[in-house]
Amino acid sequence: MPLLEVKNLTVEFHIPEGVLKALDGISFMLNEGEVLGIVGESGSGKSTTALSIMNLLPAPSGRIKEGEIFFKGEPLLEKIDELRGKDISMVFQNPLNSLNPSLKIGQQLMEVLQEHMDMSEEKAWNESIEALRMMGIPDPETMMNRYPFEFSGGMRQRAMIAMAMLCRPKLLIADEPTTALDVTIQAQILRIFKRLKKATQTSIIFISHDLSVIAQIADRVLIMYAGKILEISSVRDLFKRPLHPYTQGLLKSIPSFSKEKGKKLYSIPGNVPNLLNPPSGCVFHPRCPYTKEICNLETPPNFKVGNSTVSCWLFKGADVVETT
Amino acid sequence: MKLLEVKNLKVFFPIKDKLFGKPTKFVKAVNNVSFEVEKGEIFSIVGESGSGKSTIALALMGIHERNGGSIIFNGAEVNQEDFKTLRRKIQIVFQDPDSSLDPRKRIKEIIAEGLRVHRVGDKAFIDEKVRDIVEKVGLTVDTLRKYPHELSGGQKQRVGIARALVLEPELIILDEPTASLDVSIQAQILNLLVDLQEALGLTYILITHDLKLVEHISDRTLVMYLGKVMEMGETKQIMNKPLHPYTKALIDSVPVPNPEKRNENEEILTGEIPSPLNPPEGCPFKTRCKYRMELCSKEPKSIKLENRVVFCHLYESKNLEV
Ligand SMILES: Nc1ncnc2c1ncn2[C@@H]1O[C@H](COP(=O)(O)OP(=O)(O)OP(=O)(O)O)[C@@H](O)[C@H]1O
Ligand SMILES: Nc1ncnc2c1ncn2[C@@H]1O[C@H](COP(=O)(O)OP(=O)(O)OP(=O)(O)O)[C@@H](O)[C@H]1O
Ligand SMILES: [Mg+2]
Ligand SMILES: [Mg+2]
Repeated sequence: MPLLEVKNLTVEFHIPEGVLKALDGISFMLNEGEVLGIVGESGSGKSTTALSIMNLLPAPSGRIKEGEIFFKGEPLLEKIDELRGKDISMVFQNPLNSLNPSLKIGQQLMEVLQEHMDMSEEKAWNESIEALRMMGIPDPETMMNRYPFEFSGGMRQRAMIAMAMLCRPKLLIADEPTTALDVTIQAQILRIFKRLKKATQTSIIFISHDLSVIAQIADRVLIMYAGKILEISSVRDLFKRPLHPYTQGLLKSIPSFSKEKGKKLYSIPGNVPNLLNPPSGCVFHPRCPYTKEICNLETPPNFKVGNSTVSCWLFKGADVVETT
Repeated sequence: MKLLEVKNLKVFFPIKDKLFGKPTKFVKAVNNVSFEVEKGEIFSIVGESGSGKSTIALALMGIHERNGGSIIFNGAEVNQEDFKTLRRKIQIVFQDPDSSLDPRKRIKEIIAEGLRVHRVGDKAFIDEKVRDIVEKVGLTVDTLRKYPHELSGGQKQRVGIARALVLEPELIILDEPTASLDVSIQAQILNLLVDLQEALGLTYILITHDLKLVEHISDRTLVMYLGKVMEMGETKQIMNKPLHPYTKALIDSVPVPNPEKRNENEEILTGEIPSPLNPPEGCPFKTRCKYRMELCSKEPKSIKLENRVVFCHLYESKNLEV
């Protein structure tokens, strides 16, 4: 049984300009111990996916319109309030917003343990120090007594990961955990994730817009675009033979993969669609080099190709993956 | 031919004492930086956050006053009061088109503003010129009537480029020109910049965090750390065989877009960038450098080696290979 299953999830934001479909019937699952990468451009729905699982969509504008989420085979949203912070935890896209600026780091860590694990103060203190040490924070005893503003960006991100891992969650969701950091610090944080992956059974959803980062950490990858999942592949298959024309375009536009002449890069023409007024049929068809008539008439189903699934009419004839 | 020479550039920011308002300390944002830019090349400046890249750019625009050093453009020394006339020749494109385009102005006014300020031609001339330039950057003429908020991020950055180009500058400074854009739009903007450079014979200074991009697009590269130069030379040589330990660490930190090339135990740089208010004495990289020696507390000299300039004591005796 998969640890997490998302089925036909549709999420809308009700805003003054209208109804924005941020997720349009997405389905995927996550196995135990697996690292699932979610890749997509800005606004494709990565954070909305994460926040839906955590049941933290901004109220009242964000609503789950349809679909179900299962955790260990049981409906998740009924139980999420008990599980959040303990079995399922999240590292947010903006670390400054998610640490309490007026509490010492140590206090914040200990509170998590005392609340969820019913731990004595002394035990919580020791465990917290251990958690900081595991994240490579030097001199953790002293750092326990510091406030978030006294931490650098990289240190804050480590403290956030330490906090998210405190209760040994079954599922950790990391939303762009390295995007705001410098490359040398990004490399340090990526290494922490690589080691977590080896040392624990925690399943991880790792969100990033950077395919190179995903190549380094993920087992399987979801490619998102305009609220849809266009492709799900193992990370090896994805880089070896990307199926969806959008995935192919993303890979080709990485400078070191460029096959264009001289200094030119491959570029995907056109713009990301406006979700208030999405294209008909396949969401990618206005930018796709292989567009056929059917592409703007009908939304492609998920076709099964090898161990991957891909939502593209080029694969018409392959088996269709049903989601119920 | 040299278009720009920068010699021993210094830009210091005073940090004011809260109580008395007197500057008690300085952030040496750019500390003794020298480089030359050849006409027609793409010259990159790389380095992590706070290394002084944008400060160099703003000093070259005359927006930050220099605390020392000289800037020579087209063979002539540039003093602070010369920048007004030089503005036409040196233009900048900023990272964030949202904060660099005035939201109350129409695109037409935004692009034409420079021409008006410099009193270039009459209204008919300006209109013609503006229309011409928006088409060159891949926008349609009806964009001119719009306001910035009506455009996508990529379109806004095209406006930023048009605004810089309209004055027919010789040098354009690109400060993270694609960092705020979607991955699929980044390549469009870069290709536009490459096309324009070839068509108009422009020279670029490209400031970026993105080493993959630098390797692909630029001719020569300057590597900065905490306000100082670490290494400078031809991009290909630097990427293939970095001399300075910091350059090597920086290159090794870039994630490889290949799932077959993962390594949990690779050597990576530990520690954090020291506070710019309190930088290490001598070589600023010494607190994180694995080759650190006693000598490193002394200011490293500029060493010419293998067609490059490198500031590192390792090469002073030249009997140590990295
Ligand atoms: N609170 C909100 N109110 C209205 N619309 C929202 C809200 N949050 C997200 N959206 C919209 O939902 C869509 C998906 O947003 P989401 O934040 O999930 O994207 P993302 O993939 O995480 O992007 P990024 O890479 O920029 O973080 C976007 O069109 C966004 O504008
Ligand atoms: N106006 C200012 N007043 C005081 N300090 C400043 C000012 N501008 C920059 N600094 C400081 O100077 C140093 C260099 O900053 P600069 O913006 O040039 O870095 P950068 O290399 O462009 O970094 P980034 O990659 O984050 O854009 C930093 O320590 C910064 O905090
Ligand atoms: Mg997001
Ligand atoms: Mg900058």
